Amino acid sequence: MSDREPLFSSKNIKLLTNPLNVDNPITVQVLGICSALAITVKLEPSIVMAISVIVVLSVSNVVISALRKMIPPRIRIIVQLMVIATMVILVDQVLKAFAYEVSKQLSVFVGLIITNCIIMGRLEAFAMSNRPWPAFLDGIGNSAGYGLILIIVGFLRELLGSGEILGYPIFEKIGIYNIGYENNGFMILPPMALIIIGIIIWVQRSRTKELIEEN
Amino acid sequence: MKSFSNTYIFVFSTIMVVIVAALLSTAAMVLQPLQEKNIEIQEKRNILSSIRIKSSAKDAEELYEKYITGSFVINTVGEKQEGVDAFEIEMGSQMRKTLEQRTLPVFISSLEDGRKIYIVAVHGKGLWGPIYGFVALNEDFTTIYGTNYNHDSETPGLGAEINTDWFGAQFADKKIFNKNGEFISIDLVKGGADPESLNEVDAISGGTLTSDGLEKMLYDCLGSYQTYFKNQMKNNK
Amino acid sequence: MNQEADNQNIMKSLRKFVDKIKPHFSKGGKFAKLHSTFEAFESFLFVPNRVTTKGAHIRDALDMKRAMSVVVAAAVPALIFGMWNTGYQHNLSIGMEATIWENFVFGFLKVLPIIVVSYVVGLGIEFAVAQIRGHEVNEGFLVSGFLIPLVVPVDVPLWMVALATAFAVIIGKEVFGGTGMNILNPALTARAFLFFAYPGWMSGDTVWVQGLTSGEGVIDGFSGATPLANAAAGLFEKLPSTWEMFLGTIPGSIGETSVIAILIGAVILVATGIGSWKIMFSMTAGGLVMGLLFNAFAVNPFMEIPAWHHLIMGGFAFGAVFMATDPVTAAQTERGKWIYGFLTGIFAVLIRVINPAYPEGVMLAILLMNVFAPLIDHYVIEANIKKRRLRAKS
Repeated sequence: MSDREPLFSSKNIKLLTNPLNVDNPITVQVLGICSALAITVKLEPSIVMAISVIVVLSVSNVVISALRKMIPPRIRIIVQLMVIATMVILVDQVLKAFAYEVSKQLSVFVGLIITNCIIMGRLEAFAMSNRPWPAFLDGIGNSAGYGLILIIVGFLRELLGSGEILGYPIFEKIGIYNIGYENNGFMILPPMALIIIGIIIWVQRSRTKELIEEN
Repeated sequence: MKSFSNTYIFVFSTIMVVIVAALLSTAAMVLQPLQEKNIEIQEKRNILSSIRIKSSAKDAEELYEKYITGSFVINTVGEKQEGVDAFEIEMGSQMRKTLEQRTLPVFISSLEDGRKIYIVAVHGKGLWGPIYGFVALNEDFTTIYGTNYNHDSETPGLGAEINTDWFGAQFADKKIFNKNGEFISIDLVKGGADPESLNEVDAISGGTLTSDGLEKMLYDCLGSYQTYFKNQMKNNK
Repeated sequence: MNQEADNQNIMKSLRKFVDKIKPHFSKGGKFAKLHSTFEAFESFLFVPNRVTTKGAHIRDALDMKRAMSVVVAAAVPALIFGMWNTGYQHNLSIGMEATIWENFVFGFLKVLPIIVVSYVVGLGIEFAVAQIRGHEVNEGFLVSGFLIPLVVPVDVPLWMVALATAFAVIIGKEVFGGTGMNILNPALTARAFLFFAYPGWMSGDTVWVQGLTSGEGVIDGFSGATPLANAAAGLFEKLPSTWEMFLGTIPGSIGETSVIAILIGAVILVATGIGSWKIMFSMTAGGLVMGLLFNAFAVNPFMEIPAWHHLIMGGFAFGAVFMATDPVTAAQTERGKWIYGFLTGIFAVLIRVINPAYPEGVMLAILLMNVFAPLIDHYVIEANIKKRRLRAKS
């Protein structure tokens, strides 16, 4: 690849958009489910978690990709983990300093980004063998694909489980409780996140022909 | 694939570690004051909330200055301790000590109508993790003025209900001593408290273990203060 | 012309009409897309002239529809009693005297809408899914739709019944491939959904008796709490007498209160061979054993209540007869049925007594064992294979 590729070649665009749909880390690769269950009760932590993962993954991807020729293969996993852990601690510290309320809600789950399989997966599978710019796009794409699902689930669970959006009591304002509606307590429990993700996968697979598996 | 010598691997990892360590310690140093401030503000908001004052992260400092007029530290036989700031005391580690060794914080608040409220700290175990908060008492050291409970990881919708308004509001005007002046704390009653009773509140339905933990927390922590309360009651008379 | 001939004529012309329009719904016909809907209605009107042809089934006249009808028939006594009890409890709560007939009519009018909603929503989804997938409409929901109203409190809002039914049919059944493929019992899935989503409507003192939630004038001293709720709360002096619990004149889900009515159903199911007596028996045994164990090591009053009381309280009897025996979700092997039933009984009483937040342990126990049923079967079959292999060697 001696001649310079345009920054947003169609190949690079694909790196960004594929993980949002046909290669989504949660619904297609089925990675990172654990945090998707744990922090999606409300929309706000879901958004913060999405942003945190975007930061961690895109920066780690760039760093690893830049160092890829220098990293000795024998210790590459440790090096990757170190980069991820550093990023995660930084994000955690920043959240504690500037978004204390949210960081309390996310509690240990920010720390657990380290164990998020999506991140290790992308570093090992993509950043180790690609140049920094595509690696950056790949990082953004994959973490955004993860964040997208998180936000959809968080939105539905907060709306149906607590009747609020970002803490704003929307159902109360439109007066739906007066006609006998009640919040669905099941939405607050973790199994419902799993069921919602299941439904998203169902909808996605029935709409996207290429994802339908042969039996 | 290129092969790397052991020396290279060694040097590479050393450099990585140094860079990472430098980065993290810088970040920690720069951000620490901000983080501590946040924790302090949160603590102040909790204290304010126990005297039924709603605050936000912005006005908490100001309101705290206005309403919390003093604080002191006592031991479990009710003697004041000098040289300790009540705000610095961690109730959690105090409750792990033996009864004699505990030092307990008391905050004094003066309300707009001139009443004095005494705020004490509580700390205990919920179902999944610690629960903690503040209990505000009227000048008679018997009647609860307000409460504030927090938790780290109780179940949302069940145990986590302890920091909701409806749950906290139940405690107002309940009494922790009975008519004979014996310490009885507050009972959380499953299936609904007797509305006539002065020392019962409703437990959280579905949050039995958290409710039990909270009941025990109140008994243990307020119990540590009881000598002081009794002394003050005698003085009042 | 007499009445019978008249009827026959009507049937004949109906058959002719159906036959005439049939080609339009077959492959290539004008309405080929509506084939499955047509199929369903045709087999509702006439007994199908085909029986299962694939697989190792015994091909007698027993098709799925007859099995379903027997289950529904077996549940009718519980339903009728439930309707009467609804009226009885309501009038008791407001201190009114009423005749048996008045009680029944009152309950009938309250319960009927729940049945209608359950069937309309459930069958609506079944038809829609069959239509989309081009399958035949399955009769599976006929039973679930009848059982759902029996396991909910009478005051539950109808839209919640609709939502729970939809959840049970879609998530509990259709995603697995429809009737016969589901892992969990659909009626219990619906109940579990309600239980976790709207706990305020599935537990407490007011939902079990019609009218209490809206705060209609209640006479002093009347409690709408179920015996289980009272026992879990430690209010043993409020427990009704054994006879009342056996007869079923107590607050509770619509069809679960009367052990007598459920036993009539059990006799019908066992006599026709549709419900497995092994499961019913072993589940009862499991509940008794666990109850006796608790009696032996009792540390709180709930553990001390006589073991057999567990069998007549709450949904134990109903669960054992109608829910655990569901042939789709229960264990299939004969030895597996013993294990499955026994463990269900043990877990039901265990959850009930140990976790005061879930007084209705029967529902959770059955759902749990539904999940384990295939595993039990697997090991029973493996053991059998091993045994035979040994025999072949020797």
